[in-house]
Amino acid sequence: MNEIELGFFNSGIEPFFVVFFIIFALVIGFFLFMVVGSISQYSFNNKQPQVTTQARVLSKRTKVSGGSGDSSASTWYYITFETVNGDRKEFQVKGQEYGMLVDGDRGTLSYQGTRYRGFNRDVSSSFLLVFIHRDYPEAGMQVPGGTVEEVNRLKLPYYVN
Amino acid sequence: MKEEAGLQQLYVRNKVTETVFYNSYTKEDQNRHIFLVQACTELPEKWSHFVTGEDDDRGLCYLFFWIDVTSPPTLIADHGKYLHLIH
Repeated sequence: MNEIELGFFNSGIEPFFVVFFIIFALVIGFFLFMVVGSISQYSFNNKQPQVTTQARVLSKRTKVSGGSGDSSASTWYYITFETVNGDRKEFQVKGQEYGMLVDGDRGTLSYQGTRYRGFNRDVSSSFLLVFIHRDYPEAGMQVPGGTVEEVNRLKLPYYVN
Repeated sequence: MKEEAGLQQLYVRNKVTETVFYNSYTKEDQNRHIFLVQACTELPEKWSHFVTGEDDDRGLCYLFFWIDVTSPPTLIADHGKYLHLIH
């Protein structure tokens, strides 16, 4: 061990440059690993058949990274779909699409491998909730309603828990 | 919605329209704000609910079910007037 350390000093290479080179190599290696992985995934997806199937939105989640100190945070959006066959698949989607879809939405899902190609919500099969009085059915069908306090301050879309 | 239908976990998607409705029971004009609201969870095909809260309809039993918005039956008053705006 002492011989190796002596070797570094004897060769005239500063320890700072050795550490710098190792970190530099690690960073380059990490980027190469990411690039190769992405190209490999891209190539794999291109070889997969494009699938279009009926599905529903099962759940949604986000992943946030960064944001500490002065750095800006990045958010990734994911939606899990359940196809008519019962298969569950999670895809990364854009933020706007994440916001527009809610759990239970039904429609046509298109994907190719792990690549999300889109989800067309089926609005033709939308159903409206109505009610009648159990004891006065002759009053007719009506749409449920309620009171919204400060309606002008309501920012949409809005979740009620 | 919680008092009248027993529903929670709702998603208020967008405002459909706003209208003035004359309530013949209270004899006053009411501003009605119509929203498209979607359930966040799977709901049964039908259910009954006893109204809670402090309003006059407290204790009434309502029977809930779904109708197809593309071919809706007749709804009371103007409840069906704006269905064409949501599909």
